Amino acid sequence: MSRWLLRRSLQALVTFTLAVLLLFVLLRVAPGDPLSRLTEERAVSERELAQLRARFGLNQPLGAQLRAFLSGVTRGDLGVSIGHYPEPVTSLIAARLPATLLLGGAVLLLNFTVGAWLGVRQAVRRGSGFDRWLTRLALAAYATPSFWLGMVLVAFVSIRWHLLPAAQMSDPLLAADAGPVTKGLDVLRHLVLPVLTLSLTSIALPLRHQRAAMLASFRLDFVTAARARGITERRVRWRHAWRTTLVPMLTLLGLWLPILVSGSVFVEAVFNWPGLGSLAAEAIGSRDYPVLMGTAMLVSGVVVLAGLLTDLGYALLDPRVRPA
Amino acid sequence: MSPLLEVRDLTVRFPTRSGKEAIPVFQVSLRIERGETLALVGESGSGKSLTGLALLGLVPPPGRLGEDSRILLDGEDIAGLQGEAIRAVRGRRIGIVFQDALTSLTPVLTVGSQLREAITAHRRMEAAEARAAAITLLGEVGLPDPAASYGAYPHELSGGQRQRALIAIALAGQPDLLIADEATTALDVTIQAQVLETLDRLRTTRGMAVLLITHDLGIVAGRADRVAVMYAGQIVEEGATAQLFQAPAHPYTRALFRAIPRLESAADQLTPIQGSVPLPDEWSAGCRFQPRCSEALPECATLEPPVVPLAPGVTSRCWLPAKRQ
Amino acid sequence: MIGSLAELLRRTWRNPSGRWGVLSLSVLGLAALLAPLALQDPSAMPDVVAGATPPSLAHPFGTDQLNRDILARVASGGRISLTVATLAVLLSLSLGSLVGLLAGYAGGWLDAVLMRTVDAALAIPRLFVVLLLLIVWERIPLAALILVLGTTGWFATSRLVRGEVLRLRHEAFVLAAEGLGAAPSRTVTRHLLPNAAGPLLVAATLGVGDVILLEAGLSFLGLGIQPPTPSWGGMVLDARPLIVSAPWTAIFPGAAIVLTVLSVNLIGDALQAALDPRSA
Repeated sequence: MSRWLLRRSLQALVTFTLAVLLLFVLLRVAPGDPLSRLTEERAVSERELAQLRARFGLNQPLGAQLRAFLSGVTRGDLGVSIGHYPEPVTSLIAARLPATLLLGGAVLLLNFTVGAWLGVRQAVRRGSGFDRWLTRLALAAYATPSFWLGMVLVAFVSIRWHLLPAAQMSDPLLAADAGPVTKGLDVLRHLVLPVLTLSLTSIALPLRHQRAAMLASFRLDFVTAARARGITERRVRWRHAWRTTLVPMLTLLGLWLPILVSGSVFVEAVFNWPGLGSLAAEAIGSRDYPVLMGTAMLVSGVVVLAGLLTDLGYALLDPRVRPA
Repeated sequence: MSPLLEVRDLTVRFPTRSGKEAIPVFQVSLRIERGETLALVGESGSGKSLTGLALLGLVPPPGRLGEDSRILLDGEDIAGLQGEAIRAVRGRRIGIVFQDALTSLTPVLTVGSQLREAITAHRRMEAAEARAAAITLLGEVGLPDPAASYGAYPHELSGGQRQRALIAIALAGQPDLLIADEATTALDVTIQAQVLETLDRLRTTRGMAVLLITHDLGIVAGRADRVAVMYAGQIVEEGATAQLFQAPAHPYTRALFRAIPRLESAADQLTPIQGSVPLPDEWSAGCRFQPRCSEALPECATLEPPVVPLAPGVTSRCWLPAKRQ
Repeated sequence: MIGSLAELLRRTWRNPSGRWGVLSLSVLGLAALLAPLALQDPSAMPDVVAGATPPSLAHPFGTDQLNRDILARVASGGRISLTVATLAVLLSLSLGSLVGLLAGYAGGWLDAVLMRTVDAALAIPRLFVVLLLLIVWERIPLAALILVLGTTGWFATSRLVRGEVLRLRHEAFVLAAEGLGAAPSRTVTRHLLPNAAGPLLVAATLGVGDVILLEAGLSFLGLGIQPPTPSWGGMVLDARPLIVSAPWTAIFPGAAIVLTVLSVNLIGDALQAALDPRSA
C-alpha cells in the first residue's frame, strides 16, 4: 500500500511540475510588457525601472528566468505583486485564502449533503413530479450565470427587503471588541448569499450524479438480495444501495475540491468577498501577472492533490480496490 | 393440516415497449407441506427463478402479479402484500439463497455485518449477542473458521465459502421455507456436493421445507420428495420424485431425461432437445412445448392442453393422456 | 455513418426535453439573426437624459441607461455570443481531435508526452489561463477572444478521441489476428469518424453552453466582448447600478443567457441519452 502511495505521489508531483512549467511558458509567450502597467500607475524613475526589471528577472535570458522561477517556487517565493507592489504574492494569497476556504467549504458541504440527499430522493421517487421538476429547476439554475444571480439576489434580499448584507465578509461598523459569537454570526450572515448563489448554480451536478448512481445501484443483485432478508427498506436504501454510490460521488467530490481555493472569481467579485477569487478579479485591472500566476499555481496544486486524495479515498471506501 | 405453502394460479406480467404484455409465469400452482422438499425443475428462461422471487414479493418492477394469483402461507394469502406485511415474511417465514454469492452480497460490507443485520431484522438482540449468534451460524453452515469469515469481505472468500455464508444469511431469521434458487449451480462439482450435503443436514435439523429451484435433474434425485417441471412459464408435470424418474409422463420431461448423458449407455451422441426455449413473446397458441415435441398431436398446436391428474399427486399438462384413453 | 447520425438526431428529437431545447434554440437563433432587420440600430445615438425606460410597446424590453433599446441589444448580443461560442468550440474540437489522433496513432513516447501534458493542462483552471492570456491586450479583439477560448478548451476532447482510436485499434487488431479483418490501420480510419461523431457532438454541444457562460462572465469583468459591441455579460455589468431602480436592464440579458444555455444543455443531454439510453 505504501509503495503504491509513493508511486502515485510521484506521479502527482510530475503532473504538478509540468503544470507549473506550462504556466511559465504561458507567461513568457504572452506578448506585452508586464511592467508597463506599473509605470503607468505611478511615476517611476529610470533607475527604479531598471531595478524592477532585475527584480522580475525580465532582462535575463529565458533559461535563467526559468531557473530563477523554479527555484523561487520551491522556496515558496512566488514573486512580488504588481498591483499591490511591493507586497509578495505569497503573503497576499495567505491573507485572502481563509475567506475562500470558508466560501468554498460551505458550498461543498451544502452541495454534497443537500444535493446528495435530494438526488437519493429523486431516485427513490423516479418519474414523479418531484423528480422531474427538481431536474428542470436544477438545469435552469445551472444555466444561470452566477454573477447575474448574485446581483439579482442582492437587489431583492439585501436592498429591497433588508434581510441580509449585500457585500463583503463582515460588517465594517461592527465594534472591534465584539465577542467571537457576534463576529461569527456576522460572518455567517454575510456568507448566506454568496454561498446560495454559488451553490444553486452548480448543484445540478451532484444532484444528477447521485440520482444516476442510486438508480444504477438499485438495479444491482445484492440490493434485491438484501431486501429478501427482511431488513427495512430504509436500511436497504442507505446501508446497501447508497453505500455503493459513495465511490462515484467521491469522484465528483475530488473534481470539486479545488473550489476550496479557487472559490468563484465571479461570485467573489459581485459580493466583494475578500478571497482569492476577488484577488484574481482585482489583478485583471492592474495586469498583475505574478498574482494570477501564483493563484493559478495554488489551484493547480490543489487539483493534483485532490486527484491523489480521491485515489486514496477509493481504496478506503471500496475494499475490493485496496492494493495488496 | 393445510400445507405450508400453497400457490394457486400464480401469474407474473410484464408490460413491454411494444404495448403487448409478456407473461413469463402463467398460472403456476404448487404445494409444499411442512418439512417437504419440492424441486422446481426447468431450463433457463422457464420462469422458475421468477416464481421464487414472486413468492417473496420481489418481482422486479414494472412486473406485477396477476389478479387471480394466490400465495397461501399457512393459509394466509401473501400475494400482493406491501411494506411491513411482506417484510415480516421475508427472511422470517421464507428465506432465499441465490445463485451467485458474489453479486448477492453487498461488496462494501463484511459478511459478518450482513449476517448480523439479517439476524437482528427479526429478533431483538444486543450487539454482542448478535455477533455470537452470527459466528455460531457461520460454523453451522460448515465454514471452517467462522470468526475469520465473520470479518471478511465477500470477495475475500472462496466461492464455496461465500455460498455457505449466503445460506447462513438465509437461515438467520429461522424461516419455515427455504428457497434455493440454483444455489449450487455456480460451484465446482465437488464443492457443489458438499454444499448440498450441508443444506440437507440443515434442513433435517431445522425441519425446514425447501423449494429447490434447479435445471439439474441430477441433484433432484434422492433429495426432493416431489418434482414440478416447468416449461415456458407453466408447470407441465408434477409428481413424486421416484414416480417421475421412473415413468415421466410429459413429453418435455421425457426429453429432459433423454438428454442427460449416461455412463452406461453405448450411444456416442447426445440427444438434446431440438430447438431452443422460446421467449415469452414467442409462445405459441396451444401447447407451448409443441414446436419441439416429438410426440405432438395435431390439436397440440392450436388447443391449450388441460392439466390432467394421472395419479394422486401426479399431474401432466398434455393432450396425450386423453388420447390414450 | 449518415444513417447512424440521422438516427441519433431523430432520437434526440423524440426526447421531449431535447425537442424543447432544439425549438427554443431555433427561436432564439432566429431572433438573433433577424434582429438588425426589424429593430432599432443597437448602436444608435445614446441619450443619457432620457435614460432607462421600462418596457413599453415601442421598446418591449425597455431601454438601458443610454436609452438604447434592450431587445435590439439582447438580440445583437445573442448573435455575437453564439458566434463566438460556436467558433471557439469548433476550434477546440479541431485541436483536440488533432492531438487525440496523433497520440492514438503514434503511440509510444509521443503519446506519453502528449497525454502527460494534457493531464497537467487539465489541472490548471481554465478561467485563470484565459485571464492570463487576455490581460495582454488593452482592448481585446474579437478574434483574440475566440482564439483564447478555443485554445483553452480542447484537452478533454483529445482524451476522448485518443480513447476512440485506441479502442478501435484494439478491436481491429483482434479481428485481423483472427483472420477476419482487413489491415488494422484502414479499419480504424474507416470506423473512427462514425464512432467518434456521437460523443464529439455531445461534447461540442455542452461545450457551447460552457463557453457562453464563460464569455458572459469575462464580459462582465470587462475582459470579454468590448463595448460598444453589445454583449449579454456587458449588459449585466452596465445594469449593476440600476438593478433596483430599473431591474429590466438586468433581467432581460440574464434571462437570455439562461434560456440559451439551458436550450443548448438540453440538446446535449438528449444527444447523450440517445447515444447511451442507460444513462437516462
